[in-house]
This record gives sequence, C-alpha cells and structure tokens, in this order.
Amino acid sequence: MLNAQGLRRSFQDPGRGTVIAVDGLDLQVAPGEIYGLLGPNGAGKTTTLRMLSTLLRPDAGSVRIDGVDALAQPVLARARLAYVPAEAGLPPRLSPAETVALFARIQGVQDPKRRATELLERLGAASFLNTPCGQLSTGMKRRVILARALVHDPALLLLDEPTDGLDVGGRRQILDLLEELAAEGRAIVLSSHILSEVERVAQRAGVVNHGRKVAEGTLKELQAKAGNVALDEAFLALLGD
Amino acid sequence: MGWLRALLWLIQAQLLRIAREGLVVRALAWPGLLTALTLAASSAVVLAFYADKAIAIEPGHPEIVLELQEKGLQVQEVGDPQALLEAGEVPRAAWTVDHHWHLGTLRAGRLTLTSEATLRQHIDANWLLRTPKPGGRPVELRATVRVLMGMLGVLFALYGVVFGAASLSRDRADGSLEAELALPVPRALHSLARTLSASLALGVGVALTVGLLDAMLGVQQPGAWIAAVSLAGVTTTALGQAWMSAVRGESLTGPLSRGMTLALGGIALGFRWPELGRHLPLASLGSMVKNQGPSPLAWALTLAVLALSCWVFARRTR
Repeated sequence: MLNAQGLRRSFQDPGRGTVIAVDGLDLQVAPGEIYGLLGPNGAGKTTTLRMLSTLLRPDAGSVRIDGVDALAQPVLARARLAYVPAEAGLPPRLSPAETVALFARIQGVQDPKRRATELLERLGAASFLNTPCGQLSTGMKRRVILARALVHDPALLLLDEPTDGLDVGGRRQILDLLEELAAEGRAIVLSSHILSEVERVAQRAGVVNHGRKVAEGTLKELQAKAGNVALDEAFLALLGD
Repeated sequence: MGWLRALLWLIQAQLLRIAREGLVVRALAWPGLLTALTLAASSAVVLAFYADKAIAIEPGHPEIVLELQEKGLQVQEVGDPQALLEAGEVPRAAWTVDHHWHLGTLRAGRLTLTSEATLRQHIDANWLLRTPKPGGRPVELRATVRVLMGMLGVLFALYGVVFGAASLSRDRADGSLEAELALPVPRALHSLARTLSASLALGVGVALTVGLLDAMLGVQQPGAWIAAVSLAGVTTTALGQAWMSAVRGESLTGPLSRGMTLALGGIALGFRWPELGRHLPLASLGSMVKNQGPSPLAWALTLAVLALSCWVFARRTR
C-alpha cells in the first residue's frame, strides 16, 4: 500500500544553517496494517508524514501509494490517502456536517450529506452535527477531524498524534476506531510518542531519531533488540542518545 | 470538469465562512452605509438651516406675490421688509425706494436668484436673469463624487489586502489549511477559490456602495467604477495572499503593511498619471478618479497577478 524509499528532506534554518530533518528513510506498510512511527520530538516524524501526504516535496527519494507515484502524480495520490496533522483544526464557524460534507463533495463522494452524517454518527458526534466547530470540545473536534479524513474511504491513513489532547476515554475510542479501520483493509501510519498507544494497536513500528530510522520491527522484535527490557526502556535504548 | 466543481465548492465554503464572520460583513457594508448616512445627515442640516423659503415684500404688488409663490417662495407682505431682513427674521426681502426695487438678502442661493429674476422681469429690466430648473445633477458635483468614490475605492482595495492575507493567516492558525491542502486538488485551486470568494464578497460590497451613492449623488459611469474598484480588490486580495504565502514564520502585520503600501502606491500612480494608470492593475483605480476607466490591458494584467498569486501559493504555502 505504502512504499517509501530513501526519503530525505533538509531545511534552511537562520540559526543553524542547513538542517537535515529526514535522512534516507524507508517505509513499507501493507493493507490492514497499523505501523507505529515512534520518536522523540523533533525526530522527523511530522516531516516524514508531510512528505508521504505530498504536502512537502522530498529532496530525494520516492513514495508510492497504492501503486501511484506520489511525487509524479500528487493529486492522484492524495485521492488515496488521508492525512490528519497533529495540529489539525476545523473552520470555527462551519458545523461538523458542513465541514465533512464539503470534503466529501470535493472528493466526489456520492450523496455527501448522508455520508457526512453517517460518519459523524459512527464516530459519536451525532449530537453536534450542526454545532459550530469552534464550540466543540477538543475530543469532539478530533472525531470530526477523523470523520473528515475518512469521508472518501481512503486506502492509507497518515495520523500525526491523533490522540493528542484527549482524555483516557476519548483516546480509547480513537484507538478502537483505528483497529476497526485497519480490519477493513486500510493501511495506517500512526505517529506518536505515546508508547502504550503504539503497543496496543500497531503490528510493527519504526523508531526515528535525528531523521534516521534507527530500528524497525514488531514490538517484540524491538524489545528483543534492546535486550528484552520494557518497551519504554527499549525505546530509550534504541534511540541511543 | 471535476476541478471546476471542486473550485465551486471551495468558493462556496469560503463564502459561507465570510458570511458568518460578522466583522467582514460589517466591514463591507460600512463604507456605503456610513457615507449615505453622512450625506443624509448633511442634507438634513442644509434643509433645516438653509432652505428657508421666506421673502418679505411690501404690500401692493399682487402680481409679484403671485409669481413668487408660483416659484415656491413663501411670501410675507409686511410694511417694512428691510427692517425684517435686518432683524434676521427673513433671509430675503424686497422693497422700493423712490420707485427703485431693492432686493436684500442674508443668504445667497437659488431662491434668492429666483426672486431677483422675478423682480427684473416685472420691471422689464434691461437684462433678465433666467434660473431654469436643472435637468440633472449639477456638473460641479461630479468631481466631488469622483473623489468620494476614489476614497471608497481605496478603502475596498485595502480590504482586499486584509482579506487575502488574514484568511490565510486565520486558516494556518486554526489548523484547517493543512487539511484542505491534503485534498486531491491542485494547490493553485485553493488559492484561486480564496481569491475569487474574497473578490466576490468585495464586489458585492462595492456594487452596493456604488448603487447607494448613485441614488444619492449620481455617479458618472457607475459600471466603470464597479469594474475599477473590483479589479483593484482582486489585485490586492491576490497580493495579500501571495505575500502571506511567501512568508514563513512571520506574523500578519508584515505582509499587511507591505501589501497596503504597494496598493496605495499603485493607486497614487494612476491618480498622478491617469493615461498610464488606466492600463495597470491598482493604478486604474487612481485613473478612474480622473475619469479614465480601466483598459482591457488592466483586466489582462489583473488576471496575470491572480495567476502569479496562485503560483506563489502553490509553491510556497505550508
């Protein structure tokens, strides 16, 4: 479903000169798989996701999504994926129903209003269909953002800290939903620094630090690589800082 | 066809957001309403203090009285009209001294001239004064209306900078921009939708304002004014957006101030050199004050600015 090879991206920083945010990253995710992208803040996770979602053009490397060359045909690739940024927001004066239906219309979804309502109901936002998004709680906003991302039934989901700011209940609901979505055959890349979340839902994970992938495998393999310690200790050991 | 549909939906969504932002709607409505209210208040003051139709006249001249009344004056026949005038109780008075008519007035104006014309005709004077009712609005008002329209046009052009830059800044801040950019449409389409929706909203405000002023004062070439101000609005919206797209990590004030400075400079250029300005975006608004409407080249160059803005947005927006 997702095949990225040799991704590299650098930025010019006035204070630090050329900063290499991602350096030669490879990533493969199969349909139905949840892949955890782990790493400390500033490791390059968000830059990786932005490159995979075609929002940022890599300096080098290739990305194929569902067989489409995402660098050559970004619009076609975007039709196959959904990207939920860490700081994704909603237009405060539009309602969830309007926001999700707008995305459905632009994506060419049949009967967009009905699709929007169904998705919002499925995600537990049925009571807030017509409430301005600016008046929703953080948890409810997250659900609406997810509904908006799922409206065109994407094959690949790229999620950057999707549970950020949620309480325990909200977090559990989102993780349950991710498992359901993966069971439907979608490939999911879940970027997070919360190890317990990744441990719960991901089949495989990659650990990124300073823009490089320092380890990859199933969570058991990662633990084994670090000396069969607890996952958080394994994580720190793999980072090697 | 699919992209055109997507463009229309994006425009609709932007317009919906603009319509729900009370500040924007008020900003668009205020210039016309405020001007109309000011004009109405001024007219009321003029009518209250300067439209006194009274004239005092000595008794014994029923033909003159009748004629003055027919011409809309309120005639008071009094023994000493001059005393009444000097006491300030009437704005004009007519009396005779040794068979010579005297017309005294405290206030020049059309009614005083009408009184003079009536008296001259009555005594069969060597030269007569004609005061026909004007068929339209006075010519001298046209230049004033053009300046007023120019000022309102500048205001709308500056609004364009604010709309272009602030809508992008707002969407970056509330996190909705990135999600929209991840939609499967070319990035330039987002830019086009933003500029067109803001320009449409501006265009409605401009058309309402021109219509209101035309009804009150009479605007020469109202269509050309709507075109000139709208072209300036499209240009400034595109510039504001392009500038905001190009800056990274800079607040709204930098692009706003640069955009506004450029807009004012462009308009001033057209005001100073109207023959040249009518061919240029923005400058054609300044030229319009000098009665030179935008040329086809100005339209074409405005489209070029719009295309450039879309290109900058597609290349630089994060």
